[in-house]
Amino acid sequence: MNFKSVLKQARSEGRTLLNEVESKQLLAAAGVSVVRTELATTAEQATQLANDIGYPVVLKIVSADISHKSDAGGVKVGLGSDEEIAAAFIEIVANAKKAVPDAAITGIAVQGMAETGTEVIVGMTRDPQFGPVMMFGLGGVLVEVLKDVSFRVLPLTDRDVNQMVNDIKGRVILDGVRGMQPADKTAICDTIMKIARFVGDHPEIEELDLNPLFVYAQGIIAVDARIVVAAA
Amino acid sequence: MSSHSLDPIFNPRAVAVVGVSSNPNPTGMGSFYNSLLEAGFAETGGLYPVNPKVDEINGARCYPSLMDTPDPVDHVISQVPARFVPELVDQCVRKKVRSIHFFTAGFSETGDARMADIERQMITKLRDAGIRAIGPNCMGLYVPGSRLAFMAGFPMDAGNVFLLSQSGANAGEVVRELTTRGVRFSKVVSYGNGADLRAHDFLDYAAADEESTVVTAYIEGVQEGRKFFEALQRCARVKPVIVLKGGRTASGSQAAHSHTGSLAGSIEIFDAVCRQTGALRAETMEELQDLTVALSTNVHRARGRGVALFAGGGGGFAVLSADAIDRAGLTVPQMPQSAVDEMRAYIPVAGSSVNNPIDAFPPPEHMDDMLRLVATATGMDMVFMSPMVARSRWQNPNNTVKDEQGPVTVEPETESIATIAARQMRQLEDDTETPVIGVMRGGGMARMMGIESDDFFQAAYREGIGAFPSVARAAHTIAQLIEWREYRQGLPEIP
Repeated sequence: MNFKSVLKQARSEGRTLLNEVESKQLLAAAGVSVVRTELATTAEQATQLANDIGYPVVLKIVSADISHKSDAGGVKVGLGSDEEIAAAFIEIVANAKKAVPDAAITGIAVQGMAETGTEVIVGMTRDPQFGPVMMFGLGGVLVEVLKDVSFRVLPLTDRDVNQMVNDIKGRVILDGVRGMQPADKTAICDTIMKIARFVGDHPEIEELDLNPLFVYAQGIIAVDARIVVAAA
Repeated sequence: MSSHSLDPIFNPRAVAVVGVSSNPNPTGMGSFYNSLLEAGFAETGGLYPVNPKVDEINGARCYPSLMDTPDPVDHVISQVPARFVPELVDQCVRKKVRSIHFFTAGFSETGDARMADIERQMITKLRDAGIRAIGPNCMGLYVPGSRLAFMAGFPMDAGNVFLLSQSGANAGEVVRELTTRGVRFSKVVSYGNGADLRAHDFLDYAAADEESTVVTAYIEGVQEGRKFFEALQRCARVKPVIVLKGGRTASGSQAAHSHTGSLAGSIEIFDAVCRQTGALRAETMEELQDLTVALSTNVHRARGRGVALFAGGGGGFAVLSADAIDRAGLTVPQMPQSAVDEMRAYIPVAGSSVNNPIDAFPPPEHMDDMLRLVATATGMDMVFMSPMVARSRWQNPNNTVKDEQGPVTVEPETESIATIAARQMRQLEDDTETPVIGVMRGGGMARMMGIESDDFFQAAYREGIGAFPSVARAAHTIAQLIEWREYRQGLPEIP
């Protein structure tokens, strides 16, 4: 999967929002550590993919018409067998059709499960005056509430990346509180740099979120991603 | 002196004020001719008022048109209404002037597309002729070294601060406020719409200008963000740059499809720009002024966070001041026992504290020893000192001090208390190498002490001592400098 073909596909469908599978696969191709996520259009294909990825897995609806997947009953987690996959596939499709009757369903995303870590967000948006800016912060659902984030204008230097990671008030959480192991800041910085390069290579990208990324004592992995491209 | 392409703008040989008021004593905004007269420009260069309706102004010849003025005219100040500007631009080209400042308003800032278009056309014409423009819609230049001033009453001694302001009124306010704090300016530019010369051009000039060691900027809309970023980066590598950004746009755009987009407000991004480039961001006019004072005096030399507070004022004032210092992120360390013991030798125990904050007055003959003890005690990175402390030395009721041989009369002082206090602070800092920072409350407290706070600020500034109108503002400013130094790490040290 390359950027050009994904962009062409999205634009042909009148979309500016790349779907989860497209977003994650493009980021994985750019060297970012991402939970493996593949698109299935049949229950049988989903089962094959789950075996290939390794159980347990998550299934999620992929539809441009459904933005709140969980609310639509479009997400099933912790699926551990071929039987569970087959049942979940049917259920998700039925739920989605019930929630949004006219929804065009692209397929079902089959995603590996990652061990929970410290949740962070890395993103990019375009400032009208300064152009592309990167954002880092504590992630997950709390990002909108705490707004504990920092920004830097592209291009980034090593100094910029190190500082933006340490700028947030919650840096003590990354440093490890109450006996927790410190989060792998090197991996965070490395990920921000890779995303910055990815964004620099593709001026069509308007906005981007990786939220959450799980950070561990060693390593990092993006669990969800969203890429918005400019309209053609 | 550096040779920069904008140098001629700041050093004109002759200035024509076109559209000068026929009222011989205009005051307030736009009285450029009178301000230049007062600044003494006519004594060093040609100063030509232009107005076809009058023959003379205060006895000086007034020219009917720019074309009638003697040659050369390097700089033109345009006060004519916008509809006469195109003709004036043509005249400037023929007259071969080097720069023009448009006080004239009514162009792109109106939001009228036709006027924005006229602005673009006139700038193109000027640029083609090699003429640089400041404005439109601004106050232009205040350069004491070249006797240029855009308002009356500005001091004519030059200083170290380069001030850049999009707004003319703010430029005037900063000059007046900082002047009362003792600060002096190398160059001040109000550039308004920035149709030709913009913030990034002036930042580059300020970076190279040897007369300017501190750069202070008030910016509203950033024009050409990337150029601004890079110029700010170049300037902030070599000099302290303080930036106040006015005009907050709503946090993020409504149309954002990402968390990142919705969280990226203009102030958050501007803050990131300052951290990235190594500039200091001020959030208010007070911060802008305090930081400018701090970076032009000894305050920026303060290292560490420990404050010895020796400001008198009583117990309640001491407690609130210690709270304010703490809130700012500095500390009020305990006075070491050895220092306490030494101070107790000359301070009675009752009703006084020689811990930190120090709320105690020794007999005048021991004041110097006491100050040295405080300034050299372990953990004290700086001393906050009120001129009130200095006051007790010479303002005792009988003009006497007790000596070992008994009371002796002290000669009445001819200098102001403010001047003597400032000198004492300088002496203390020189003797101990601990930065001494002045704190002087205004209003009723100042009147009670018999010291004009402005007198003290200026006297302190002349001694290189930074002084602030409150403990809270002093502490907050120093905390900002500490944070600035931390995030500047990785950039070259400012010489």
